[in-house]
Amino acid sequence: MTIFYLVKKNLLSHKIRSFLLVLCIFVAFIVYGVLKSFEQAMHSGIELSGTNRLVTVNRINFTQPLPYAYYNRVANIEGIKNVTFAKWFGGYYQEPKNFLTTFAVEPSSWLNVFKEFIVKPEEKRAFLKDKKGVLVGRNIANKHHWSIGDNVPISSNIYSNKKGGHTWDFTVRAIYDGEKEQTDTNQVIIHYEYFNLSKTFGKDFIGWLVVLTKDANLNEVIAKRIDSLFNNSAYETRTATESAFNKAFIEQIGNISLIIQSVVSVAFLTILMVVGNTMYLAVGERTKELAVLKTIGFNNRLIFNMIMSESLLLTVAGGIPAIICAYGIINALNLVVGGFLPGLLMPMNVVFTSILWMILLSVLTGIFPAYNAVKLNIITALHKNQ
Amino acid sequence: MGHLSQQTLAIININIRSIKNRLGLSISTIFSVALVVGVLLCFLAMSKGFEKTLEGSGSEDVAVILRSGSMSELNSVITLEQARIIESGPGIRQWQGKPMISKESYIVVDAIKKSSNTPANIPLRGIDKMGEIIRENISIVKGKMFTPGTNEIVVGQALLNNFKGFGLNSQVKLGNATWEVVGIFSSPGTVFESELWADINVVQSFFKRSGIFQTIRVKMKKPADVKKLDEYSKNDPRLKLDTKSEKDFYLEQANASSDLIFYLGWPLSILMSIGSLAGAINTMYNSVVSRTREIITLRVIGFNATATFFGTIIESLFLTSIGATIGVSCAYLLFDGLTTSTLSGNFTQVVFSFKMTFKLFIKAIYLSLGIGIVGGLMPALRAARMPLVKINSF
Amino acid sequence: MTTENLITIKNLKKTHIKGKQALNIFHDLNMHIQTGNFIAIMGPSGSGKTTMLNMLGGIDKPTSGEIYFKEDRIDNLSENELTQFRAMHVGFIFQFYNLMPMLTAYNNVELPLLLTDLSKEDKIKKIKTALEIVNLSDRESHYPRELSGGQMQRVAIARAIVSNPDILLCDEPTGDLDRETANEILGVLKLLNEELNKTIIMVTHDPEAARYSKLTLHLDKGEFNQKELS
Repeated sequence: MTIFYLVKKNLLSHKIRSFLLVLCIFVAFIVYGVLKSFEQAMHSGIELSGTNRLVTVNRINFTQPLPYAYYNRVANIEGIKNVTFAKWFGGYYQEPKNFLTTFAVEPSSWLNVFKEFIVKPEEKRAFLKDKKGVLVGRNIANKHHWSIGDNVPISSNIYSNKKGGHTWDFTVRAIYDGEKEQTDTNQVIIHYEYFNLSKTFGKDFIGWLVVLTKDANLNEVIAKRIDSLFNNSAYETRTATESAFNKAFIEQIGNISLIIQSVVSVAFLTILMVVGNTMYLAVGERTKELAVLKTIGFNNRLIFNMIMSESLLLTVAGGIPAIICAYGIINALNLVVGGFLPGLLMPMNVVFTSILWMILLSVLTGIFPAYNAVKLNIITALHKNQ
Repeated sequence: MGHLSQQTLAIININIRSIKNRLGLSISTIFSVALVVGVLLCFLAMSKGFEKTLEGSGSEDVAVILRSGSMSELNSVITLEQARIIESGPGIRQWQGKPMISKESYIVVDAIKKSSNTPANIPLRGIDKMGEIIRENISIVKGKMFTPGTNEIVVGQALLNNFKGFGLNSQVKLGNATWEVVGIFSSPGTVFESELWADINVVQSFFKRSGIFQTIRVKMKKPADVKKLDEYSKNDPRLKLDTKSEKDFYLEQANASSDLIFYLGWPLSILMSIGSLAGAINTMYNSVVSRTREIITLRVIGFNATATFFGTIIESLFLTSIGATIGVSCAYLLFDGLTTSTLSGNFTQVVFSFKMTFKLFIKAIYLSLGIGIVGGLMPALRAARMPLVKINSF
Repeated sequence: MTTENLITIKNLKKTHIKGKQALNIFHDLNMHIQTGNFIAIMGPSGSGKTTMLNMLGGIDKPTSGEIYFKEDRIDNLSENELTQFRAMHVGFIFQFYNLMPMLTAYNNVELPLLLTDLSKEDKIKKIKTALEIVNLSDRESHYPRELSGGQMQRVAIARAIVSNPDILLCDEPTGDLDRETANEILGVLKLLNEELNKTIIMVTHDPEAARYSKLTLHLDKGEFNQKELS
């Protein structure tokens, strides 16, 4: 027998009570694990954005077009390493509900700017060569069971082509993997040149430019240079870092962090109250046992550690399985909503912060009962009525 | 001994008086229920408010026509020629001898959201006189309507309140043209209040979209005529348009977004109810155990087991009802009417208010009663089954 | 048999403050307790029997005066030092046994050994021996609720002696037991005193119990009526 055994026995002697407390903690940490992973996935676009990548959009709004000529004009600005552009295609596969994040781009510069897209050299060559070729993310390829060489029709909910339809035929020439686990592999990349020639309106316009600066310190200067270049033209621009751009987009949906933080706080507050109060009562019930232990010679530190271990054990017994379950839930959700929310997985830092929260909550719920146990007067406690 | 109800009342009385002996635990139960109810109501009110705003925006007798497959106004493109064909469709109501057809352009522009200080998408709608007439609940609350052919815009009241830079008489720069805000319009509880309106011709020429519209709204003689117009348009190979009632159009958007809130809000609330349920069961077990002596004494002197059972259940319901009352009141005070905005299916911001309704309160009360009954059940059974022979061991 | 002084009490004074009233329990008490003695303390309720026991065991402190354990003064020790003192030198036996309900008899006896650095084998040996002494070897895996009052008290005695303390302090050890069982328990205490030379101080109401001791003291108004102690 060890002190730990004593702690365990104490908890097991009130099986229902301990189970309920563990359940309460379990629920709160599932809420924490799932929501925090969600939050981070929402923000992964900000975190994964290149530190020296800028996005240039039409000053009116990013849905407004920019002239194709801007691509070449920006390329000549000093301090720029690389520039590429994209046009939103509004793609979907077979039915509008199977939407595809499809960009029409200049492929070679695109792949130079987005280095996190890992493409096999031979596939890359094949994609660059074939104007009707398409580069698709691993996730999308798996979802629709596409493999290299497949002919895939992709429709647009915006553009129509010269054949009078909304559907273009492409051949899968390359599949990319993400450099990191969170990298979005739900994108579909097509050749702008092919798209531009075959669409019926909006020719020679692009959506936005993505600029790679030589040094992140130059970001601000270069952004100003780009915007002043087009000042007072019919298509004024607004340039911001990729992360600022992504952040603004998240903010459009709403203050998700605030909602998530509120719900998590409520869940933790519930634990604090329910577990804290129960521990307090439970230790109160054991006054006499504690007095006996002290009489036998258990010193204050031992008694204190014993009570704290009880609350730590409860928290861990609820918290660790909860994090494992949350991990399972997140993985299951990833299959369902991965297309809308790339990077939905449980990041390591959520696991770490959960563990920190477990420690903090167990300290908060255990400290008052433990203090009471230490302060307990042996004489009065021993002579309490049975 | 009196009737069961009298016995139960007597026991409830004893139970409730003894709550002060486990005050901490009882209060934590009350608050955990209040918190769960609050979270649930917050999500439901958000979902309800968003839904109401979108639902309230659509009329049944207005047909919205978009390019087939475009799903939203933003992506739709309709040519002048197509619009002309529609004009000779069936069932269209007349106004002063003209068909009530509003050809509209829909352009997304940036505005700074007050809550986050970041640029967000808001719609600039180009309309003509008919666009104003078709929308019945519109009124100019300040200033005047824009003058056709000028760079004047009117701003929806909700947009004015939630985004920067649209005060009356202010200059709004979009691209290299400047617009003047000449009026503020109100259309309570609709998405239109989150829009900017300007003259269709000016918008078209400024955004180089002459002869191109995003959407056509048609006022029908009666709601059923929307279907007729749809059939008419489907039969014409030149059109390739989708026609639906404005009500359905916004309803579809409402469903997509409020489902998300709904499917997030309920599971979360239920999950968190489990936590507070654990707290309630715990409190009630404690209540029963701490009153072992009283319960057995009462039973020995002739109180019924059923009465002790209900006494415990009702104590549990008592606690959770207090919690529900606190939760509902706080949620009402904190959230009702709270205004926020989010990205709608049209890819633009929709300003909406949290809406607490009586029905939502009832849902929250059900949830708390559920927690109360389930929480009290096992402890109540224990109270009812307490072995009477224990009386000798006191 | 050595007859050194195990406990020495000098000029002990103990005052209980109850509300505004100060209650003098002991006033200038002096006594010695020799190793190997078995003392029964009798006296009316409130005469300070238990207070005396608590002070000897280091869970209560005198208002003034000195208490020595062997050569060392214990009344001025800190709480932690007293705790350590109890763990090393004192075994307690209570009227209501005070066993841990969630532990088996074996684990209850093991409790004091948690505070020692003994090897696992040594611990097992000591627990088995202690249970053998109280004649409960066949009940070691029973929980307190599965034991009779006498058996529970024997577990409590085993717990008190397992760490081989110098002194056993018993507070009404038979107060909750019937005559026959009480005699059994007293027999065990007598055996511990005679065979293992354990010093025992026992507070009791029961004159029958006092007969098992070597010396019976009557406590009244803070004074022992037998002056030969000092």
